Amino acid sequence: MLEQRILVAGTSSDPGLKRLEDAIVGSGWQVMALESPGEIDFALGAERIAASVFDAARFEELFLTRLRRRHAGRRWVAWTAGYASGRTAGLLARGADEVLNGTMGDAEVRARLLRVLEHRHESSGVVTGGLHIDGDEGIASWQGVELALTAREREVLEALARAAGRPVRREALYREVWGFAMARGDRTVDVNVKRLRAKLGAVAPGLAIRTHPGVGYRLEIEEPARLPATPVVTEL
Amino acid sequence: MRLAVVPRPAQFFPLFTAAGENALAAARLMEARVRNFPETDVAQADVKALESEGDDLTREIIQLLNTQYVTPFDREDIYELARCVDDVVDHIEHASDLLSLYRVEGPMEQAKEQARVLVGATESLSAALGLLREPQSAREHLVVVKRFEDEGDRIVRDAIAALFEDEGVSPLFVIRWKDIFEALEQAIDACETASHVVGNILVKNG
Repeated sequence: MLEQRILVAGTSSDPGLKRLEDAIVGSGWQVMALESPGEIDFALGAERIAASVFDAARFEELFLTRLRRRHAGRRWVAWTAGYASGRTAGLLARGADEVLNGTMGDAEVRARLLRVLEHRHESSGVVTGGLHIDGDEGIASWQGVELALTAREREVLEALARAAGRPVRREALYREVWGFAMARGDRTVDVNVKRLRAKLGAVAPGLAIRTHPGVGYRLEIEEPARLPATPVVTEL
Repeated sequence: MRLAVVPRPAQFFPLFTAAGENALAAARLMEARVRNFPETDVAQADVKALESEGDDLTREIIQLLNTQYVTPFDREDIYELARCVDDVVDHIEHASDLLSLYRVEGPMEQAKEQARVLVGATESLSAALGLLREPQSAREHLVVVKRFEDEGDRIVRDAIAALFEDEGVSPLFVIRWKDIFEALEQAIDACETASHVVGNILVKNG
């Protein structure tokens, strides 16, 4: 286990959440219990946290919109007091990596958390503008033309595309694609972005990766030119 | 072993000059290789070719040593110097090989810094080897080798510390870069060891 600390966001007096915390501690992880959105945001930026478990009833919007964008590549686990199939499906659809609930026993909580911690975010694909990335099939295409990218390059492109035009920090990009923390001085991300840029420049001029000095990279997508409503027939 | 009837002690000098230039060429290739690895034009085979060239030069020096009754310096010093300069290239080749062997996906700033220091140290060592007949000029270069070696020590400590700053760094990443940092450090240390031998020769013969 590489990172031992799990952030638990919720009301500290909630007995269900307290039981969850005990199960986490009993499994050998450390718990960082926080209630304030500001503290949570700060901790995610400053602390080494393996995953965040949040009370969906209270923090769904905070985690699955704002924090998910600001801390790309993190692992998000929602917690609900009871089990409801539709609710669980909705949280997963909005980007939660896992949904735990108060009906689960300690062993199940541990097993599900372990799975979240050990398996980095699996690609599920991105479709934005003329860019299509199918993570399961391992295919990326621009305006219908397949891009000859390595798996790493495709994952970097996908991580940038997911950020929807916002800059992604090198460290966050590394964590999302490589699944680990980035060591100080490591230029792996930069080398991969440079190679990706060269490939995109040749075949996908509508995709541009911009550098934000001291921060990271941002993907700029130029929408594909619209085809005319009626086909143009040229007679020779 | 048949000894030469006509002494040719001066033949050692161009061989040591060539060995120094070969070590410098290897260091420059290493620097170019690590700068943008794996997006580099320098192949491991290029570095390996210089390592073989270094072996040939060492063999030539030892062969000459074994056939010469008269030598410009003590026999053991000539043997030791040839071996030490060869070690520099061997360590460079080893570090370069690890980049491919460990499937490194991108360079680290600290390794680029080490390579810069390595080039500086071999430049000075090479200059000293080319001036074995001019002790005073050669000594100035030996001082510079020592300065680079000190800088190399500081860089490698910082480099290894960077690997352990965050427990979330991949253990495989730590293993591969620790080995590479250490191999580069050994190459820099080998420059200093060779410069000590040059220093001893200059003291005895200056």
